Amino acid sequence: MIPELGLLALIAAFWTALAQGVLPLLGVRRQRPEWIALARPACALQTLFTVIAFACLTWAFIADDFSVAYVTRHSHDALPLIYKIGAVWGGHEGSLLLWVLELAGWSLALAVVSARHSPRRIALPAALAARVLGVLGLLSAGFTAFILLTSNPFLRLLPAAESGRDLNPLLQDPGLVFHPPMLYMGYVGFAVAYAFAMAVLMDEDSRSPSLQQAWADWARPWTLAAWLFLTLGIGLGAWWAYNELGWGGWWFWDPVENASFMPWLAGTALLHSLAATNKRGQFPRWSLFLAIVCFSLSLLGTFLVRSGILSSVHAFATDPKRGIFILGFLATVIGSSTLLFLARAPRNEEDAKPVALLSREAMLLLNNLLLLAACASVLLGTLYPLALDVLGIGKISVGPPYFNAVFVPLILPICLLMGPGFLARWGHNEAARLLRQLTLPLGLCLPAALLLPLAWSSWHLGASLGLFAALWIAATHLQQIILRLSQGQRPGRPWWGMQLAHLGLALCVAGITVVKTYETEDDIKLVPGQFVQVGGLPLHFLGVSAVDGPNYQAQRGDFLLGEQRRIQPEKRQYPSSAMPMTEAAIDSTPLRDIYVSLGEAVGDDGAWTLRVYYKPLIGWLWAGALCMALGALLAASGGRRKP
Amino acid sequence: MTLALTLPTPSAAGWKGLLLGLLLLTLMQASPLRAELSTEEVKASPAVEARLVAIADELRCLVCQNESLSASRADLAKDLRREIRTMIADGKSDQDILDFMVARYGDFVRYRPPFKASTALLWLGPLLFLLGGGLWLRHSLRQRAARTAETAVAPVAAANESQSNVHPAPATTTADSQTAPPAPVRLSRRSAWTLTIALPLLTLLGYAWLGNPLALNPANRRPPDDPAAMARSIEQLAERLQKQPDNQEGWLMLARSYRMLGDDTRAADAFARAGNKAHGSATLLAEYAEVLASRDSSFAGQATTLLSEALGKDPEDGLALFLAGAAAAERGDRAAARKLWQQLLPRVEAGSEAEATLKAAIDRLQQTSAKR
Amino acid sequence: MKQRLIVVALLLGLFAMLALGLRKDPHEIPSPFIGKTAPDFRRPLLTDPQRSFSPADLKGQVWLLNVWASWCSACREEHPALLELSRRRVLPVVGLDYKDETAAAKEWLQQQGNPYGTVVVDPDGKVGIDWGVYGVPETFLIDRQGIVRYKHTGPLTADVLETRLLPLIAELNKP
Repeated sequence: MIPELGLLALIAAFWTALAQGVLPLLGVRRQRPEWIALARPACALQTLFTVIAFACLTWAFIADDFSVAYVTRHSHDALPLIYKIGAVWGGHEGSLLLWVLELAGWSLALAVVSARHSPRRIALPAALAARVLGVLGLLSAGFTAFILLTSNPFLRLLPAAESGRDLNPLLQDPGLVFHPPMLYMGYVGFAVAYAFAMAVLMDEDSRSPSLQQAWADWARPWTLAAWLFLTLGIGLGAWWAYNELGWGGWWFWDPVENASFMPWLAGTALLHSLAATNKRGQFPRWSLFLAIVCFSLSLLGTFLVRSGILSSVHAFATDPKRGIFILGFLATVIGSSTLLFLARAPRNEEDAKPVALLSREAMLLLNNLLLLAACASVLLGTLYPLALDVLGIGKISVGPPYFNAVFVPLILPICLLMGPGFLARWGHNEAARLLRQLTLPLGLCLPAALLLPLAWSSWHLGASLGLFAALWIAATHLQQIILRLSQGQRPGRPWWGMQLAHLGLALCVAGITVVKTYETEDDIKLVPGQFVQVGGLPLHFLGVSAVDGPNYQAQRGDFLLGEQRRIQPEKRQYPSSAMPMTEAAIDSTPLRDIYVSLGEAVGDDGAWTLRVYYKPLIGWLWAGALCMALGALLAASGGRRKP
Repeated sequence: MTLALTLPTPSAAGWKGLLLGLLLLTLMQASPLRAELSTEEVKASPAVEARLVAIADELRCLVCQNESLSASRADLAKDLRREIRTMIADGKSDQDILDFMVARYGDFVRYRPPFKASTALLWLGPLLFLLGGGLWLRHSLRQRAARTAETAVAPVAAANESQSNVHPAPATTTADSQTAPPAPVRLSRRSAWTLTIALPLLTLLGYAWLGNPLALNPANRRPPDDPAAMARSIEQLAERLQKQPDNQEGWLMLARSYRMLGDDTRAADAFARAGNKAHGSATLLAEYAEVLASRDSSFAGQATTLLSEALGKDPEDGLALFLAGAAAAERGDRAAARKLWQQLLPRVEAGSEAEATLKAAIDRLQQTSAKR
Repeated sequence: MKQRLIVVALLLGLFAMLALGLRKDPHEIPSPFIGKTAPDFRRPLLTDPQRSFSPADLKGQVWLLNVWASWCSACREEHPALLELSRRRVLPVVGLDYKDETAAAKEWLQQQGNPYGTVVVDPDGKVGIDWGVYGVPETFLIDRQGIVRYKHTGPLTADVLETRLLPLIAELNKP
């Protein structure tokens, strides 16, 4: 009963979304205020229906309704409740429904916020709001149609199965319950910026400079929020991989990981471009272009994951029909926005303003260039094997060696640019002043970067370079904090947010540099009672015992690190899977992680093989990602700056 | 109407085949159960291992394809790592080892694509992006500077223009914000009625196409407990199928229902009439084989062929594994039966009746073989 | 204007590539041996370990090498096709028993039927590695000069047999 209700609600959501999409857009064009006025109510109604549909599916999981085929494929009655809920988006159909739910949520938020009138805020004109909601409605309709036609989560299994197939044990982890929702919030959030760009381009006055400044102003908090979620989503994914997969890795340049990273890079460029457009009216074309690119990359990512076109650990079960549909959707979204952009965006020949060398604008432009080059390189590496295969030239693999070789030389200049970029003022060009201010940080960072690597082990050039970049960011930013505070200034939240986000990046760069250069990995065999030295401490092996979990049986290893810290890795056997799952155990301190993963039992004396990792500064990665997200939150909550 | 017909795990009814298997047991050689993921051979010196890891990190595991050769636990990966160790010990260089791999598996096995004509664009691409971008940047800055120079020449009119360009307040919207919020727009009666009727109508239309109203009847969802009710609904289905002999899906449903009732002869006939649909999944094939074996009291013949096909489709299917094991035992093929049942054991729910029965069956085999 | 055309052309190219890519299988690895001499080896036979087999033994004939194992479930799927091939006496079919136990292999052939004229064993998988085998079953077609002409990964289906393999064999057999 409930699943049928869910299906009905989803169908209703489709029609409502279509109405939300078509009527306001036509209404603006044909000057029909009553159609324009439908935008918000339609949006509210669509969200309601989508929520009902999602709630029905969730109920089906919680109630173990195995007459729904999707529930049977991804759940089990012994599954703990939190994972039953997580299983709702554990498969392709449900995760798409989550996408649509989040898209509806963002649209509703926009509808509500844009209707408010307050003295601090310049209201969104009705026509523009209608168009933005209209574009979002079309996107929702497209996705909902995709679900209904090719990926219906409410398909039934009659008669019902006795039991489910269980959620993939790899997914039974809290990190993975939150990772997709966060990530989708990011992807979907960029749809808002995209909708704004489209609405602006559709406007009769699409080239007006004042409109450009205004839309940048409205879109900024939404874009910041989307970027925030995407940062958290990617960070969660990496953290989950590190904790769950048992081999100490956290980023593999897998096509699907790249698919999330590219919108992040483009989104970072978009944020900076919007700042310039909002405050100085600069780079309106860039802002429009990047808004389109960000969401297009999100959609491309969806296509790559769900069409089976690339080999990836993340890929959902595939069906060629799905691939074709998404491709069609992708082509429509990118094609229409590109054509609109080419036809109606502000023209460089007439409208572009001057940019002084060494001004903040110039730095931002260079920054965007570097970010886009990085993004384009990742795209190139991800799609190149496909291109060669399609052209019949052969089959190659493009993996971490390529991406690391290509990406690192691009990220370092970006970090270095942050120093002067942060100090430079809008519109001015004062090389002398910049050099003067940068001398101190340079003087501090250079020797520090040269000496610090020795704290871990032998000196490496790569470590010094990376540490220099991180220290450089930290030093230049701290310098500014000290200067401003000492001058009695009280900068607003957006400024602090920017500081925090940049420092977050510095933390990440430092963490990645040190971990990659100085981590160690050892395969050893231990008998109970033996110990091995790791990270300066002895790791004693106490033995392995059998343990029962809620829905698994496990072998648990007992280790003592140093005097007091217990580490207990496990090898779990879930009923639904033939392969045992390794649950690594990690001992974390702010400066290092010690990571132990069980191998196999050997011989008769209780000996076990294990892998022990020493990972210095890896915690800084997660801290950095959090800081970046918090920084964005601060900046978004800072209220509207007067333009 | 949309129906998905796969049963993922054997129902309790399916385990009745266990009894059949028990009846057909023959003696078997017991052997240790433990899934032996063999630990690697004695590790060589740390220097060799370090080199191995460095090389294997650059190679792609061909089986799972999403891990490097150093991380993968696949059998082939272990074999290849063993080969690489041997080559290192033989004094081969890193390049020799890479060439060895590429000669056998192609460039696909390398995570770092070799620099060739076909990959030139890949390796040079990022550089081109940077250079191209840099050139564009320079061009754009110059162009803007040049235009400023031009506009600076033109006097008052240009100054006014540039001033309004720089002025931050968006003209159109400040006008809006200064006026009161626009009066709410009323939807005309006709439009309101059209929408109120259109929405439910269109929704129901969609449901008629996509939905499954059968599911609304709870009786259809639960496998019926009441044998009389089940027998009645089965009779009705059988009658309907007499009129629609080509309804393969219907025959399949009938066959599975007869199977649950225990009527093996009718079930076998119905499966046969279901044609291709009966071969749609491993579980269906296994169910078909089960009724045949039940009917003939032997797995010989079509039942065995069906089970082979089932395992070919899904080597992990529980019912197929179990029945194939029983069939092997019937044939006297102890090794195969043992292998199949051992493969099944970890997949059975711990502590369940099915697990107990399966374990008992395996024990019995070992006991009887020990006696021999 | 030219700039716009370039952009549109690039986009169309991207979409075309993605559309064509949907038909490809990202997991399939083409063999680097096509058009090259088949790797040499000499290994004992399953039925008579005193005798051995090498590809050189079949030089001058068109023949098929099928890599299989008794533990491989997909091999059961292709077995009817292989039996058919051997029944029709089209060409010598040599089986490479990959990483298998002799007893299990013999029993498997006894139950399922033996389509192979010769079965050679590769217990440690080294021959498989030399031939670039990464998944069982795999089938190679070798011509009279000992050059590999065709490789099929995965179970041989009747369809592949009729449409790809048999015509190619006929062509290679022409004088």
